[in-house]
Amino acid sequence: MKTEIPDFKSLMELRAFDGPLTSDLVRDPARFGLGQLPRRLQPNGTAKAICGFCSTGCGLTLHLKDGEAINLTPDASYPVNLGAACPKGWEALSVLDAADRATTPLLNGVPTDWSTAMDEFCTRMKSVMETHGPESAAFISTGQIMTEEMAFLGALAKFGMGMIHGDGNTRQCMATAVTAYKESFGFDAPPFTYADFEESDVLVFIGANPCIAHPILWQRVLKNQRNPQIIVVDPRKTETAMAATQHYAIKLKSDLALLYGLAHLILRDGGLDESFIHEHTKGFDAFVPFLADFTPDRVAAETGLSVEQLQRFADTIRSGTPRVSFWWTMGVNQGHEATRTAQAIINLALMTGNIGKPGTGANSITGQCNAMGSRLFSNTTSLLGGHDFRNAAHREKIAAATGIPVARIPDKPSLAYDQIIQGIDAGRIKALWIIATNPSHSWIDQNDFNRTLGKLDFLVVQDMYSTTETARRAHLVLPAAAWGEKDGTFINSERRIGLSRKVRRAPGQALADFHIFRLIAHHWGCGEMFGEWTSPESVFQIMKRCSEGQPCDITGIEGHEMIEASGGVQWPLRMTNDEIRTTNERRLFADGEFFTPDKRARFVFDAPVQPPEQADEAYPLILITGRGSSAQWHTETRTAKSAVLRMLAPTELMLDVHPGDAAEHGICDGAMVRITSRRGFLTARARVSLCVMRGQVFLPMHDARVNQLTHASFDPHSRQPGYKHSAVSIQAVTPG
Amino acid sequence: MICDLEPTKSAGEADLTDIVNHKTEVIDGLLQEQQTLRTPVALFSDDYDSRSVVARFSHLIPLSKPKPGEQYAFEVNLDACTGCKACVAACHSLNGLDEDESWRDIGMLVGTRKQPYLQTVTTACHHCADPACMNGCPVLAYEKDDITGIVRHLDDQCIGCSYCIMKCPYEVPKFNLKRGIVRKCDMCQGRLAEGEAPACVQACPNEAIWIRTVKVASVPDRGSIVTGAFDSSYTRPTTRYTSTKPSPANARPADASRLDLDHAHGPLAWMLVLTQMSAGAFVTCAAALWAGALDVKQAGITSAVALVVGVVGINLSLLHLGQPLKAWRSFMGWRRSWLSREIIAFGGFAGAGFGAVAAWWWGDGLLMRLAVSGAALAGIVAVLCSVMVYADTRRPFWSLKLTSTKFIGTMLLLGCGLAGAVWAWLGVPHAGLLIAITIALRWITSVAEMNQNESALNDESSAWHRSARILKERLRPWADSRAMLLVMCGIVLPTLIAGGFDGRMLFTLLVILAFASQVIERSYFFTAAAGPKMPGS
Repeated sequence: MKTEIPDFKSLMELRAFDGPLTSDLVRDPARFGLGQLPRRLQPNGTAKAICGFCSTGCGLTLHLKDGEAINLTPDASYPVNLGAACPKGWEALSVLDAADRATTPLLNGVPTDWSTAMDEFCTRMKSVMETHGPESAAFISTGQIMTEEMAFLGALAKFGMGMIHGDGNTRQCMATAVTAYKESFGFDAPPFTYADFEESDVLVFIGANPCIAHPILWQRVLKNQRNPQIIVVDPRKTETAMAATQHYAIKLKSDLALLYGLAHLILRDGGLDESFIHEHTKGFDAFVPFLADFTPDRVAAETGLSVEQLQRFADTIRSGTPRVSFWWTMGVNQGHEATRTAQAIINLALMTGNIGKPGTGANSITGQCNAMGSRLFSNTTSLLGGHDFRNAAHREKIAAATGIPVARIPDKPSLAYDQIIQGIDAGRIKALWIIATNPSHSWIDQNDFNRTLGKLDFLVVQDMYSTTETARRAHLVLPAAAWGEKDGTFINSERRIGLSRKVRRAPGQALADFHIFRLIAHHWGCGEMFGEWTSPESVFQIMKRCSEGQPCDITGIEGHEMIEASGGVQWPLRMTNDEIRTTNERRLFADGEFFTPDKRARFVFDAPVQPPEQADEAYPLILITGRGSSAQWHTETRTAKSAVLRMLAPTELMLDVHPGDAAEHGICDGAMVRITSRRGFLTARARVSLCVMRGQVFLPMHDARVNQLTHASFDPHSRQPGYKHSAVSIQAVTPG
Repeated sequence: MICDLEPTKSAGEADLTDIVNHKTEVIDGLLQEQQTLRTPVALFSDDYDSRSVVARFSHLIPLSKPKPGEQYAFEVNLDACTGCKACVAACHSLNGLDEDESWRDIGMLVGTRKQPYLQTVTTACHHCADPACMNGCPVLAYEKDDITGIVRHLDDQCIGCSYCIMKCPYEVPKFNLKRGIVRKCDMCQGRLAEGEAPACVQACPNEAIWIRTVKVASVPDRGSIVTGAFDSSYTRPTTRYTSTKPSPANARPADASRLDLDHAHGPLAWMLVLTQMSAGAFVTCAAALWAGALDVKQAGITSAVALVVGVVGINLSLLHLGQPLKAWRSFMGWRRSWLSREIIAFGGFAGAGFGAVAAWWWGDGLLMRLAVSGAALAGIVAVLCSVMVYADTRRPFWSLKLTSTKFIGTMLLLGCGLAGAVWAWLGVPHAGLLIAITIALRWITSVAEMNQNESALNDESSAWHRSARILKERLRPWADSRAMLLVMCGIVLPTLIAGGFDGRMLFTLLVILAFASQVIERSYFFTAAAGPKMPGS
């Protein structure tokens, strides 16, 4: 120890302003307009991609070093996200490096080679189908792979392998919107463009929490310069509800009554766009007497709102017209009467003429990055390009467009997801092929689902991770390359087709889903049928031909390069649409012509009914599930692999419970609580909060146990599961 | 396309070997294609304007450098902070940080029983006008930039002592285990210098984060910057949180009811107890020498034992450092840092201790008396510096009163105990008196502490109520074990000693148990510290 004390100046000179630890963090100006970047992450090239998590469809600029992506920034030139991304997008590359990536095929959990895996796949699938018929094998597609891949999957499974049944995990998120739009508009056609967020005077969010679920769409809401009224309908006080100018915390599943009540008031108070109704819609005459019953007093009683609140809500819509936009997500889609609820929203837009104009629309915000690709091209419920399996002319058209013999095209549509599971349970379906989805975690009433999976003779899971809850149950795991390791297109919420590039090498023997389908076609013996299906680009050309003349016509898109150069292209883009090629924000129905045969939109409605599982003495509370944080995606197979995202997600499962219910059950803030439903139980930490109403509890859906509790009910029209209404009871396990 | 599938031949046309070969070729072709990346040349996009990053965010940062008396500061519009957390991810990615490292955090404010309320709060370094991290750093590894006011950390100067982490009431400096140093936000000063916005500012989709120029004199020195944040009088943080909807009076951080344990700092706990024991033994020894109760040899042996204990303690503190080889720099911050002063003081104490042992070798009584007294004095100064190291962090559980009671109490208790045990073995006649004093001190220090804990636990307004709750709810087994040790040291062993069993053995055991009890106390001194922080989630 020095005893002599040097003067301050000479001490300052002893300081190490530089050295290896300092230079670790040095930032240098980077090329390509990226600003300063860390020295060790300097790119020598860039590429563009569309984010592979949610349907917002953000553009990302990938920083390449010798062709391989080492970092990324949100793409400032992309019209969707304008240079921003949520944490999932920022971390899109890091989840590719996880140790549990599937790197070889696994046969009964044991690594094997592709040749053996293909023999096994073909032999066992064929054996099942030969013994039990073509309806005995099914596939579950996804909204997470590229459009070209899902088109290939659907065509291969149905036309090549001869399966009849295949559905997508989009049944869990978007089926309701699809059904509602088809019935009301004549085609599954979300009418909006994201610019509508900025153009509205009133934005109504129903069952949607974009601050958390779609942060980059919320960015567009905040860019609105018109000082809009933002209305949120949600039983919970969410981040979005906090940011709203009006929040209506209605009783659970009273949204249909609320929407009819609003229609009643708008009708009574003269808020109709009568010329629009007269010229462009059908069914309003029957809707008027139907609405008579939905008096403010009745609706107030059913929703828990006051008559004054209802009046204010309706008045805000009336005064905002013609710039009122309605937006919904899973709070609507995942309900027992979801389709009618979505259509009640559509009805409001139609009767007030809030459609086809800037800042309007009855707008379903999509969930997964390529849910819309799945809706149009997965060849599951509808034939490629939004066609109908039952329609002979459609089959002929698709046969011509794909070069596949028309006899190979089934003349009936697939069973829905839940019906496929019923088929397994009943022993009619013996083999199942699941691609890029994790239903052992995410399917409703999970214990029952997993028990049913156990009945299969052959379960194949194709995924980028070998550790998903579903992959662990598979007889055969096929290792898939991930987003960033393959090329292809996604279609986002606003119908924008975007291109994603291959910028990473897949680990081990993992192959792009596209390549796996080629391999299966080859081994199955139907390779010849798919002679033209050699690359995502060539399949895109086939998809174009399939879309010709449809509302989703994309024949005007030359190919992948044009998509990339244009900042994505919204469908439709017909060969003849030269005048709209230059605009980057396009909405549908500006001419008031819908896709029904008579070009009129339909008013569709039904009286509300009670949810199937009600609270009772044994299970006095209703469990709502939903998204937890912006850093978590669905079953977290990817997001849990990023240290940054883990840091931003809750460290443990938290149950939101109202202080009144907490007191009644002797639960303090922070106590461990056991939550029990008729189907299972789990423990979570209580968060006593007024953000949920009395009688309700909330759990985020990302924890693998949560769907053990959920009650399997399905909307009768869309067959979409209703995740948001299950009766539960709670008990304190430990005091706070 | 590298590999195109040829139309499959039917089995009749080719023999089996051909089919197998062909299958392998297809698989190999696809695997090869999967591993092929397109050349970056084809992917180059040179259509960017190289100044685009500057242009895109210029409205979010000041256009000119701060004038004298001004500095840069973060400003956060809470109305636009809606929970996306992109700022945290962007800070990580754009600054090339380690896997789980980011210099921005997200917390949440919630309502209570009266009003539903949710507000996410993004937070990074507040680049304080009076930075506690800088004031506490023993090696001058912090620098507040003269022009911008950015509080910068000099990574190569850092010895990884973690004192800045204890000093900062906002949990800003974070220990980087891999590198053995602390790292923190530098407001992307290099970016700002070129007119580029910091990473977090660039990343916020809602433009909630801004850089503003503020007058240093007008940086608030009272109140708190946001609900739940520490009192601004301590460091004068410059970040300003704005909102058109002020948070309700009853809002609180979402993690307010969580009782998290702080870092245990094992080497520091041992170092504190050992050095205090050593200093106390010198004090006892000096007192006995002046009272004429010890001869030179007895004092020499006592000093030697105390010195060994002290030197072990001092050296244990090195284990606490991330960069022990750079520890020689730790005197540099003596002008402002109590840690630096403590290190110098313990250097002096060790020197004085060696002096006492040398005086024993010299054999002169007066010299011995002076040398031991010198060591005792240096020891007291060093222990007082230790007290100030913790009191200076303004953590309620480490207040001057609580810390000095604990440290001085430990010094007297274990000092008497150590000296008493040595004397018992040496047959010094007054050893019995020291044994009695030790037992009395054991009772006094324990009862005083228990009283303090009990009143803080029952008084919700107590500044260290939270620490008392952590002790009760999270550290109960440790508190219970101390109670058992008190029974042993305060009743069982004294009774046995009074009953005529071997006093030397039993008293040594008593001192060891008292030591163990103090090490336990000192480790929850750290784990139950409940250091202030920004709202968490």
